[in-house]
Amino acid sequence: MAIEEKIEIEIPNDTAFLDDIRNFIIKAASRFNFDQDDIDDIEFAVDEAVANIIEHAYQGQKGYIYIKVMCNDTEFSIRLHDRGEKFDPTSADMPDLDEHHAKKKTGGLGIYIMRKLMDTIEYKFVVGEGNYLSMVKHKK
Amino acid sequence: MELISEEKNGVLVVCVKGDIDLNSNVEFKKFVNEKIDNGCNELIIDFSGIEYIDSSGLGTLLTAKKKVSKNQGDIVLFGLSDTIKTLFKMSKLLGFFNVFENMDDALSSFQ
Repeated sequence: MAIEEKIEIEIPNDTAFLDDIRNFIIKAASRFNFDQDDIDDIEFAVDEAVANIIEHAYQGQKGYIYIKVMCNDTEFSIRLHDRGEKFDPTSADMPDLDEHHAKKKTGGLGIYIMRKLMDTIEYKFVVGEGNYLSMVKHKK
Repeated sequence: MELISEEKNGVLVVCVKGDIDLNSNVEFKKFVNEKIDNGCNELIIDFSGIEYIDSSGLGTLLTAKKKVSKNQGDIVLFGLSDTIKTLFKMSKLLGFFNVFENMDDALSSFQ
């Protein structure tokens, strides 16, 4: 991937910043002329990924989320890094949503959305560093 | 996010303005649950002012539907943007919730 632009930000582990992150993502994807459907997909996926870090990795503890975005004319790539507890959103089976809703379950939907909307999702945990989640969306 | 509710023909219409994410869902969930706990079993959620909803917001709606269904009630929706309709479709929620184009059609569903 020929990187045209790389942006790195760090934000506190706080739901109050979710809106800022979505706006940041929209702006970055728009700069590279991703269409509105792609931008919506990236926005939903990143929001869910960050929400998971806040809820499951940091579990109420204070910390930061380090976001690195790499964009070019063909793909949008984002890496989320946190220093919370090990949490792998790629490990669970994709739920059968018909059964999920029939049983009126509520958990797992965010991870389903995230995995459905992005083309590639990779996770790794590094001892002493924390969780790394990388996601890629190819331009239509 | 702003939450406004009014009763129409015995049905509670909840108008939401803004985003529903992990942050604002705390207030949305509390608001909806309080209405149901106070006896409202027929609700309409006006989505025309909702710009964004995440899985926590969808979870609030699913839980609320479960609660009112136990009392033979229902929660229906109207005014979904194309983006949110796509999210509902992908999440297989369009067949689970009755979704209408406007408030009159949503109200008629309770008659």
